[in-house]
Amino acid sequence: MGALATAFSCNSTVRVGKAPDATGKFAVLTEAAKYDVSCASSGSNAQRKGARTGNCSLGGICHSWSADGRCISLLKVLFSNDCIFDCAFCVNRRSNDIPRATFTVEEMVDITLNFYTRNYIEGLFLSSAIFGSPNRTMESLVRVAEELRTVHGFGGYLHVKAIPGADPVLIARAGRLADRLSVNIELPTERSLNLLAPQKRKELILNPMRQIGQAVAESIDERKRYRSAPVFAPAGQSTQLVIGASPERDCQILRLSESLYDRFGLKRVYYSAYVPVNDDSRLPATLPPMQREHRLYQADWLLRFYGFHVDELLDDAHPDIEEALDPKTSWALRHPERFPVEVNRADYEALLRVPGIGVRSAQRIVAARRFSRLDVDALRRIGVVMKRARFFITCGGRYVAGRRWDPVQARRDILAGIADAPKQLELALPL
Amino acid sequence: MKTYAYDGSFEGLMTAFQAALDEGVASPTFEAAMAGRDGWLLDIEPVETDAEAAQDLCRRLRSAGGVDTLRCLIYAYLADTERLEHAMFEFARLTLDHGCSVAAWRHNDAVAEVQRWADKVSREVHRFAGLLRFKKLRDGAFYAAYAPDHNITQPLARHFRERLRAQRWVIHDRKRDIAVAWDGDRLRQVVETPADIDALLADDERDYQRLWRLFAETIAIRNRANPRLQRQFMPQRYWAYLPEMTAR
Repeated sequence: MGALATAFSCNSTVRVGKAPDATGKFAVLTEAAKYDVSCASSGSNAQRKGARTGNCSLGGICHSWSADGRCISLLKVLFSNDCIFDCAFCVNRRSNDIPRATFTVEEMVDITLNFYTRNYIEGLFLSSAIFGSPNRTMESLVRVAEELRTVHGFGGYLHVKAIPGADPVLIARAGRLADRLSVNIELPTERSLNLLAPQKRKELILNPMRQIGQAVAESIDERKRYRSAPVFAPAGQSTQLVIGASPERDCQILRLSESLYDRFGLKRVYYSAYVPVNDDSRLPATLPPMQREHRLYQADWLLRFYGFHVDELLDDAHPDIEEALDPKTSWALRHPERFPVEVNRADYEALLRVPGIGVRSAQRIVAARRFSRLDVDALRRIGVVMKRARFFITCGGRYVAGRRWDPVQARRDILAGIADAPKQLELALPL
Repeated sequence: MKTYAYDGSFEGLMTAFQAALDEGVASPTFEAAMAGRDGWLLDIEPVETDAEAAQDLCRRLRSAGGVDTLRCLIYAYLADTERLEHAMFEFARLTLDHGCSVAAWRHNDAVAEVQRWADKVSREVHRFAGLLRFKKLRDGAFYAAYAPDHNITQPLARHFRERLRAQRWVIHDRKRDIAVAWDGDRLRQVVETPADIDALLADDERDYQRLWRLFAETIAIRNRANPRLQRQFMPQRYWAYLPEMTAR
C-alpha cells in the first residue's frame, strides 16, 4: 500500500502519452468511465458474513456531486481502457488515438479501500473495456472483487460489469461477490447495434442478462427457504441505453425497457444522452439531448412506481414523449374522463396518477384522510405540488383551479406557468 | 400560561413535559437553560432533570405511538432550533391521549411542525452519511470535522459504527464543539480534541485527498456542466470540509 501511495504522490496533472504515470493512469481510467451513467448504490440488503469494513445502505448514499450535477456514489473507473472493440459511439474504441492504461488488481483494491475508509465513496463500480479477451477482462474484475471481499473483508457496495462474451462461470462468480451486475445494451435495436457496434452481437448481450436474471430469481427463492443460502447480486441487474446516437423513437426505447423489467427482472434501465465524443459519419453531431433523457427517466419512473404501461403513455400517433410537458401531465390531459379526482375518496392507484402527487404524497393522503377531511392547505402540508395538482383534483367536491375541469384550459395554464416559472418564484403568494 | 425551564438536555425536556402533564397545564411553554435570568416575575418554573421520570415518559410514548414516535421527538429535539418545544409537547400529549401514533396527522399544526423538523434532521443525517470526510492520522485513527445545521453527531456516529467498525475514528462537530469517538468497541464523548489536526496527518493522507479531487474533477462531463444543480444537491456551506471542493 505504501509503495502505491508514493507512486500517486507525484503531481496531479495528466501526462498525455503512451505510458502515463500512476496518477495519470488514474485520470485516464476515470476519464474513460465517465460516460457510464449508472451510479446507484441502492437496493442491496446484503448482510455479508465476515465483513469487517463497510456495509450497504438499502436506499443508497450519494457522497458528492460533480460539476455536471451528477451524484458521485461509487468509485467509477475502468480497470482498463485498452479496448479490442471499435464501437462508433465509444470514447475508448480501438481506432481512437488516446492514452491507454490498465490497473493492476492491487492498485484497484488499494484505491477502493483508501477511498472507502475516508468515506469518499459508497463502493466500487467495477467495469472495463475489453482488453485481450472477454474472459481475461472478466477474470480481472472477478479477482478485484474477490480480493476485496475475502482478503480485506470489504462489505461495501460492489457493482460489477458482466463482460459480453465472458464465460458464464466467471459471471456466476461475479454474481456471488457483487451487489449489482450490469450488462450495457447501449443501442436499442439490433439494426443500430450492427451499424454502430459491429463486434457486439445481440446474443452476447442477452445471454448474460438472461443468466443473471435467472440466478437472481433463484437466489431470492432459495433464501426464502434457507436464510443462509448464498446471495447472488442482491441489488439485481441494470443496463444502459444511449439516447440519440441512433434513430429510435421514445416508444421503441420504452417498450424495450418495459420488457427488460418484466422479462429479466431488471432493477434499472439507465438512459444516457449521447455526447459526441468521436468524429464519425454514422453518428449525429448534435448537442446531448438532455431534455429527452430527462423525459425518458420520468416515463421510466411511471413504469416502475406508478403502475403505467408504455402503451398508455405512447402509441403510434404519439411515438415520442412531449418535450414541453412531463409524461404524466401529458397523459392526464389526454384522459379528461379520469379527472378531476376527489382526494378524500379516490383510491391509492387513482391518486398516484394525479400530476403533482408522488408516491409519498399519495401514501400520506391515504394515511391522513382517515383522521380528517383534507383541504388544500392540508394537501400542501402533506407535500403535494399544488401548482400542478390543483388542475386535476377536487377537495371535498370543490374544484380549485378555476370554474370547472377543462383540459384545454388546463394545458394552456400549465404551459404558461412553465414559461413564467422564474416570475412565479418571485410571486410565491399563498393561494 | 406557564413556562417550564429545563437544562437544555432531552432528558430535561422530557422531565419538564412530565411536570406539565402532571399539573394539567393547558398550553405550557418551555425554555432551555435560563442562564442568569430570574424567573419569578414571569411565572417560570425551573425543572430539575429527573432521568427516571424522563425514561418513564419515553417508555409510555413508545408503547402508545411506537418507536417512530419517539424517534420523531428525538430528531425534532436534535434539530437544535428554538421554540419547537411547544409543538413537541402537543405531539406527545396527542400521542398519549389517543394511545396511538399520530405521526400521520400532518393536517395538525403541531404534528406537521414536529415532522417537518424531524424530516430535516433525518435528511441531514442521510446527507452527511455521504458528505462526511475522514482524514487518516499517523496513529492509524481517522478524524472527521464538519459543521452541520442540526445536532446530528449522535445518529451519524451510529451509522459509522456499523460501517467503519474495524477502524478507530472521531466525528467532530466544529460548530457546536461536540465530538464522538469510536474505539472499535464503544462510542464515547470526546472531552478535548487536538487544536492542530493537520500536524497529525498520516504521510499519505494528502495524496489520497489529491487523488479524490482528481477523480471528482475528471468524472464530470464538460458538455453537461451544471454547477447550479451541483450546488443544489451540495450547498456551498458544506464545502469547507470537502477535500474535493477546496482548492489545494
